[in-house]
Amino acid sequence: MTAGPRSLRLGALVVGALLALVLLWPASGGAHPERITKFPSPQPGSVPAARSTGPVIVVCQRDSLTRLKRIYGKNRRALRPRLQALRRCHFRSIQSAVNAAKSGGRILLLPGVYTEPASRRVPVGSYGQPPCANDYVETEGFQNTAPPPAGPASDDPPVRANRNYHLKCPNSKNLIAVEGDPRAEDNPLNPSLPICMQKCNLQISGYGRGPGDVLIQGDRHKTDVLRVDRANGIYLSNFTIEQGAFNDIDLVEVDGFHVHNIVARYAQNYGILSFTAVHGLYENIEAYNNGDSGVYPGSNAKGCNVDPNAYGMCDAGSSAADPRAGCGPPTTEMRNINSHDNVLGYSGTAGNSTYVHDSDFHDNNTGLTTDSFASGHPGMPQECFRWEHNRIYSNNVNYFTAERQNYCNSHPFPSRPKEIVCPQFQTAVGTGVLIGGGNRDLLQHNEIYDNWRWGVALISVAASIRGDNDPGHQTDTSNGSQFLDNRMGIAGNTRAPNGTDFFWDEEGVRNCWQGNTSQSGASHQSTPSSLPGCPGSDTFHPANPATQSMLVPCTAWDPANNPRPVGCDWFDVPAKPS
Amino acid sequence: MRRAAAAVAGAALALVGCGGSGGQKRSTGLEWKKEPLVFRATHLPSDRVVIGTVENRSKRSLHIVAATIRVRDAHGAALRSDAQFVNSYAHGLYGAYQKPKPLPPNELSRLGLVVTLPPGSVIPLSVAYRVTPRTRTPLRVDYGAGSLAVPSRVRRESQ
Repeated sequence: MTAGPRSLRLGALVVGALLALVLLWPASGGAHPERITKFPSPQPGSVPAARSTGPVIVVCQRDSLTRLKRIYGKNRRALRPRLQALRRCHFRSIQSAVNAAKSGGRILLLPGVYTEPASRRVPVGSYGQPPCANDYVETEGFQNTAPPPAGPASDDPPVRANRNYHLKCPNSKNLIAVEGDPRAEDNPLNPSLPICMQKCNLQISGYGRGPGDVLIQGDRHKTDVLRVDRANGIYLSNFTIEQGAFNDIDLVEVDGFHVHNIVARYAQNYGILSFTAVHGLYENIEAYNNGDSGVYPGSNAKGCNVDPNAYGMCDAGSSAADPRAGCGPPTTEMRNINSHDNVLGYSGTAGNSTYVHDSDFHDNNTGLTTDSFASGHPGMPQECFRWEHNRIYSNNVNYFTAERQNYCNSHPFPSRPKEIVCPQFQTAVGTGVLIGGGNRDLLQHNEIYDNWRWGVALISVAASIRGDNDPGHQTDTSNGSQFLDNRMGIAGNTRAPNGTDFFWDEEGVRNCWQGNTSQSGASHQSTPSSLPGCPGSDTFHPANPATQSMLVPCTAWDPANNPRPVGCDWFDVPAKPS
Repeated sequence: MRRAAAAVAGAALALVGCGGSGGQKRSTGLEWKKEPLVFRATHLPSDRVVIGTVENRSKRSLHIVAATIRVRDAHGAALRSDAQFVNSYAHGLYGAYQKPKPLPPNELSRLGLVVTLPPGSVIPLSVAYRVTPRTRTPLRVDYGAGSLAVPSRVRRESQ
């Protein structure tokens, strides 16, 4: 697995030529790539901290020495240990280092650009085609006689690479794969409960001054740039990662993770995504120019004592006075996040029990959204976030202009300049926070201003929308959320109104608004004009059709055949409120 | 694509024997469960949204592709229309540029894009349409095998 620097240099010429070929490889459209997942259960893990102990593997590039000298100059104190590390460098590839690492190991990345040429040479593959042609699951069936709806489509059937695929062909769809559970799945449609058996508690850290000194660069074809699958206790830090065809970082079925001091950008969908994960910490993250969201703690574990892999809600012990009594502790924390210029700064379908604080979400199309919209996301319905002391402002960037949509339709992701963002999902441009079907969520002590449509919107989502047709579940969202003591429409001491501070479709019980202050102005405070104070009403009210009519037409959005649905004004930047 | 979808939908409707034009005849298809509401889009003054619930009052299943639904005016002119069998906003599972082809049945059903309605079943229906100066009332929602009247009263959306 190791190679000396000379052989690395010789190989680089060959690799470079092959890389040029790979870059010309035709794009492979991908169906939704998230395999069928389960939450770890039980969940004994915890958020890992940075370690200075454990075996070290050093990875470097040919120009790492030059970069080190440029970065540190005469700062010998900082330079010396890095030069020592450079002398111990036997890898040019992060994947090779991961393959060599054991649980508890540390991988240090010296300054440089990591393109992973060997991984790039592995074909991305598609259903029925090598590599691993048969390791897909057919999750939604092929017996579909109905015509497709209008819209762009890949030529792929509704399949997803299963866990065996990632084990057997780890670098087909992932530039770098960290697989913590080597057991093959007997039935990928019903995967085993996640456990970590290898590469647990790994640490992969850039060994430069900051995230700008180490760049991990996706090839715009592979789904994930860095996939961490069942490798519990992973600690990732101090690098920039970019250009994933779906995700830059994808943490799947992980109990215990910490992403720290990372820049995630230019992904077709998500900068950093965690899915069916628990005990997570996103810290000091900058995420920008991602086509869905900068950060995504989706299908996040619930903090209460329910079976994580069955329908259940954290409502035990809740009351009118304290609807959140059953929420339990947060399971993923985010702090010091700077997410900007994405379609969504933050999103999280089934993003339960997240604690997001002291962060900035700005200059996106929408700042933060969490929801119960989609099928295939364990942990539904969404509930129990706690978001506080954030600044959510100026989310009026519009990637839905006619010009942009035309461009995106005619330029597949691999051929676009990396800075061009093409929206993967529709959203309401000009919105600070959009909660689509949440329960027992708490939004408090935030500064929310200069969002020209809505500061905060709360809308209900019927369970059937997520594919749950149980009659008893249909009104199980939009209950018990609280909006307390937020500062609306003011930036520091300067008035910066939202279009409407709070928008609510009026469905649900025990939702309440209290203690919020506003400088947006009397005509900008809320829809409806009067909102219930806490504890809210115990009487269920269905959504007001006069608000639904503003939302439902936007469901029809499709960038190719219906970029401007009738009755939907989400894709225009609202007039700046005065 | 839409024409093809319409043709297939028409064939599907014919296959299950759901002919008829609705209106004054004995019900052979969908009827509003109660009078729907029509709203004028606040920032799109030519756009209207009719929201209601429909019931299949025929004796046979109806298979309807929402993309074939059109609002027609008194002269039969089709208005630009978008319809889905949902009553709340939703979005798909697949990214805009990552959709499988065709979309799986569950996805089509979940988003109210293609529905099969057994006799007596009830489902929400939302139809947005755009009027022009030449649009003449009354309007109706044409779903291929029949039509549904659109009330003349137009309300304001919430601000």
